[in-house]
Amino acid sequence: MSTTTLTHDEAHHHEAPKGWKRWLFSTNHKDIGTLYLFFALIMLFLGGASAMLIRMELFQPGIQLLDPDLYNNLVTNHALIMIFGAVMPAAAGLANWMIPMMIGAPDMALPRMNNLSFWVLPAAATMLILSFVVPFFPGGGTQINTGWTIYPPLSVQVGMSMDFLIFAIHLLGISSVLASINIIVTLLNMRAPGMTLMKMPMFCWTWLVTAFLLILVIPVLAGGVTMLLFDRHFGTSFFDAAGGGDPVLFQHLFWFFGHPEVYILLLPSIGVLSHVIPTFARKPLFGYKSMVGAMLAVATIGMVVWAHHQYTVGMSLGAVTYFMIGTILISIPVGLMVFNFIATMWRGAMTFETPMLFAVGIVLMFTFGGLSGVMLAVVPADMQYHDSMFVVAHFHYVLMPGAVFGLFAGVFYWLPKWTGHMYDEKLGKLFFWTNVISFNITFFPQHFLGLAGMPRRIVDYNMIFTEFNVISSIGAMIFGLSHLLFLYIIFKTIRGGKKAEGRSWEGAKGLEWELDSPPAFHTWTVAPQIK
Amino acid sequence: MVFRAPQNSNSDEAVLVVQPNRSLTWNQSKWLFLLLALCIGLVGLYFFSLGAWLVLPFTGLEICIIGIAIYCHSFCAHSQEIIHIDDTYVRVSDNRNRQAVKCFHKAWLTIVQNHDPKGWYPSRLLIGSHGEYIEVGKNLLEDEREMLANNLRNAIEGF
Repeated sequence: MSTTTLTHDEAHHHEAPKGWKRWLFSTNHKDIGTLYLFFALIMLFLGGASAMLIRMELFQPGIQLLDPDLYNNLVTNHALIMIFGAVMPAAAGLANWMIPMMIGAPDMALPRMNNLSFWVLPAAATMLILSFVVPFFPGGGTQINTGWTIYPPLSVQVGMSMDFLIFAIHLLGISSVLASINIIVTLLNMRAPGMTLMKMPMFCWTWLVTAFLLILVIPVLAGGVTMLLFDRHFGTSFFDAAGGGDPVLFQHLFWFFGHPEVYILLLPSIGVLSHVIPTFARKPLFGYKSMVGAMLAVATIGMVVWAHHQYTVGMSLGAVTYFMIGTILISIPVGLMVFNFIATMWRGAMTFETPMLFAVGIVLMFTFGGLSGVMLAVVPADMQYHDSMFVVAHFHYVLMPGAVFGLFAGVFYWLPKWTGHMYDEKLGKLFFWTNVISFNITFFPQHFLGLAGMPRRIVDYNMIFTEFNVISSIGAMIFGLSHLLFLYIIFKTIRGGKKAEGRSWEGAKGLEWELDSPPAFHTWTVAPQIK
Repeated sequence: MVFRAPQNSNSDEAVLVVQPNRSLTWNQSKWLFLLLALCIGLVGLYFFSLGAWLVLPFTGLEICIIGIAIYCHSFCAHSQEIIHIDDTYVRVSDNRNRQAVKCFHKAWLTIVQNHDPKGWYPSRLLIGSHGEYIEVGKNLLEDEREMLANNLRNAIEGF
């Protein structure tokens, strides 16, 4: 017997490839995670810039910087860029980086599909940006002045920029569906031996539920926008009452996607909190099983209450009552999650590093946003609040702390693991306080504006709303600029800093902390045994 | 995943069972697909009943992609190669085609591991003799394939 090993380089396959091909052709979950995160960061600044323009315009009554259509185009693009371009890709970036390391898998289940699902995103972002830019060119048609909900009949009348937007939504949907399928297969079929579903880290659970939600709702949105495209160009009348169609049908299609989308944005951040709070409270997560149950309940109920966004369109009393009760019911499992987080902190040996500061901030501010959500769920009250600045304040209190701050917490928590360096804690805390205070200065006054009757998505406003708008706009400028500090902290940490240990945080538990910081290019090439 | 099956101390045969790590059985994979297809199908049918029939092609397409993804991954994850080594022969069979047993004389056996020069593709572990080679451990990870190659050498030299 003879043995021959023809090897070019003994450690060849453990090294990261070099050059641009590493990123373009990557099938490595860590590289793709990094690509997602940087993409999200770029889009965060694009979306943030559009928000700052909106707030600049609203600094004073009257029309200063933007004509009404351009203002509404900015509102549309701000929402779409932030939701599809920043928050979802950032959450997918965290998933790509952390899920395989957390479950002891060497990579995602379908690595080539993983590459595809990322590289569809820049194409989608280009289409999205084109939808904003095209009206500025001769023959480019009118601006997208519909808001992100793109309701017909207005969206049927908009110029060709709407077609760009529809194709952007299709591409974003393809990316999300492929990523979700990959995550589901990875989580269900690639866990390390001994890791049962009920031993799976909570971040993985939240992503499993998120991925299920995504694959259930994306085809409905895709169908809806395709029908819109047909109405625009192929003479159909799906949403045209004159041709026997129904514009309200589009609202049902949109919100069947749109409401679960809120949980799609929130749940990964809830997963991050489920790791951050136990780590810095130095206690296990209180009520793991009830957290899983609550999350499943939120996802299930969240799928069937979409029409609470449409109370004012004239649904039957029975339908509105059903949607109202269902919506209020969601507060029970959400309350349970918040209770579990507080109970985890209770009598814990807490320290307040930046991720924990964000976590505590989220618990407080997200609960506040949830309470204004219960107010909006009540039909008679919603009839008054509908399409007012109160709604803007509410969903920013839900989505900024609930989704974005959760992602910030995750970035600060895992940054030492990713880069091998500890970030500058003083700058991290400075970022937290600047960010949170300016966030509240921006959005808290909008509750009063809405209650006083200021409508949203209108470029001008009555003089009586001036003071609160000035405060809100000043807050927004500080809030927007504070993200430059975040950018600086990220690059500073990547470039150097105190060396991070494998277990970067004293109280951190889980398979990912058993690996070096930064982890090798390929990790868990032999699956660990979980007891 | 590579492991040596429990050895009977009286046996003169070593057995290497080669299979990747997996957490779902075939049946569970099928149920997962059916559950997903059912949920997505119900959503599609609901909107079809409201007149939004264009949702159906997208739900159908998604069900197909999910089916292909689950099938492809499960197919690889459930591949199993069994390598029997006795004092004269090395026999290789797999769980999908038990009839096709490849048999090599141990004295002439060669183990070859080819690495891709650019490192873009996984290495290939080949065993055989007299110009006839078969690939083993193709669904394993790189480190597992190294382990398999070492285990094979140790097992063969042990007899």
